[in-house]
Amino acid sequence: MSNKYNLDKENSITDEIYFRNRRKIMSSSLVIPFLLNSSLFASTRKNLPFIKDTEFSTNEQTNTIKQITSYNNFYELGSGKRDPMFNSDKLKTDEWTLTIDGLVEKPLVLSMDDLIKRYQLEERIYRLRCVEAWSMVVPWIGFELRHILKEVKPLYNAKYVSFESILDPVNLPGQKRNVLNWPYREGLRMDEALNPLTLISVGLYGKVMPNQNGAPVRLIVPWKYGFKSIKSIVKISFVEDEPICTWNQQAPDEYGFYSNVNPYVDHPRWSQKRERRIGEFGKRDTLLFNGYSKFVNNLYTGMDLEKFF
Amino acid sequence: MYQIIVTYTFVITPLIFIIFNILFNTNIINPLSYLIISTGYISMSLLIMVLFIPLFKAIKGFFDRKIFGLSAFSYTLVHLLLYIIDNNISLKYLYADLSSLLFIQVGYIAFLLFLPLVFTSTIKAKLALKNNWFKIHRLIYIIIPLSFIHYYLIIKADYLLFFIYLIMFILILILKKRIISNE
Repeated sequence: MSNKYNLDKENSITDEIYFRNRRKIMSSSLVIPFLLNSSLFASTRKNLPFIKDTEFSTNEQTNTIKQITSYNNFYELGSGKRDPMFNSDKLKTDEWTLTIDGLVEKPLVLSMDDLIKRYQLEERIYRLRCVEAWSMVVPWIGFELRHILKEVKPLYNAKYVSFESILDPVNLPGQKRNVLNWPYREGLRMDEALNPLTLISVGLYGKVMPNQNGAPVRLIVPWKYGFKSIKSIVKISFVEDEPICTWNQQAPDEYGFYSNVNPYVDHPRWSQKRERRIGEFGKRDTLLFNGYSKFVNNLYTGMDLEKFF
Repeated sequence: MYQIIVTYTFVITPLIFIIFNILFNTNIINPLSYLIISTGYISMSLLIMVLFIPLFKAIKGFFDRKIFGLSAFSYTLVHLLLYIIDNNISLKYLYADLSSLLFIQVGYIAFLLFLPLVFTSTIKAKLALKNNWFKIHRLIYIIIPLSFIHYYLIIKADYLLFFIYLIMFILILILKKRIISNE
């Protein structure tokens, strides 16, 4: 059996058993992780029920939970790579709600319980390419954003989807200074939001999302640079015009609205041709659309990717 | 003698610290990047110290500036070597960076300007070069701003630490000017 998962020793035994039995679990098609979750396998983060995706997931070696939770860009929790881990308890996720509004027929407010139970959760193993030229492979747990779209029914004039993160300067150390224009905002074009790769993620490695990775609910757009995958979302709005995106606002000529992973279009100050896969020694070549061309090519046919970077 | 001990303690402590972190700190996930960034910060800090020390009579006697300068260069050299390793020691990659990236070009220029200071660091050279030695060593006033630019060019949004370095440098220049005009 392949040992694709790269589990840390400290990553509780639950995971190990859980993932080694994935084949069996898959055949039963629905996982009931709560059965495995006895006090014997005590873990602070709750297990999530999910099915395994085979269509979009990569079979590359995943990064360890330790790597995924210790090397983060989450400026709300500090601008250093390890700050989000050290400050993870500063993100308060109790009573979280996700509001979906704007140009829709049926606005919606989802509780955390809704986000876990309303839609079938699946595991998606995606590559994540940061704009800083490093990458990881992460087994996210979530559901396709388009499931929410089907439910709220966007109006004909809704052309973009805008996302907004938590604003809590009292608790979030990074928001005590105006390093970025808080709250963090991101956006997608409607067809990008409808793409089956686009994920609303509530966990990773089979468990609820660690705070430093954007708990409790975040976006995953694996063919775009990591900063597009906004963390800790409180609001999703459907809008007519291209929405404000935080990094684009910060430096418009450096971080475009699209920000598709593209080795042929360098960042004005550094190269995007190569990347360091965390855990590997040498650098590897970066792939167009982070290797997801097959799924997203059609979104950008005829578009000048140098102009619309 | 105690001057040598104090100085070496000062310049070697950061090295011990980063080596310890690399070996035992499991929170270091991207070790090469960690090493490149830390050696960069250490070099800039030591360069600042070289200018800072002679301004204060109270601390002047404790440190050997030459060792400080040479240590700053050593960290810079390690910084450069790590960057080369980080690029798979591939000439193609290094050339691509050098030909297109401003922060890399600035880094190389600062490194090259450092070399004459290193090669003339001996007492013998100082005596032989006389007044020219001081002219050469004034290059530090170009090397430091270049290293700051090199650093500035890779910051994404949080400029706090950069401004701290910049303010320290400006304060040193102001203090130095005052001292000179008082003399």
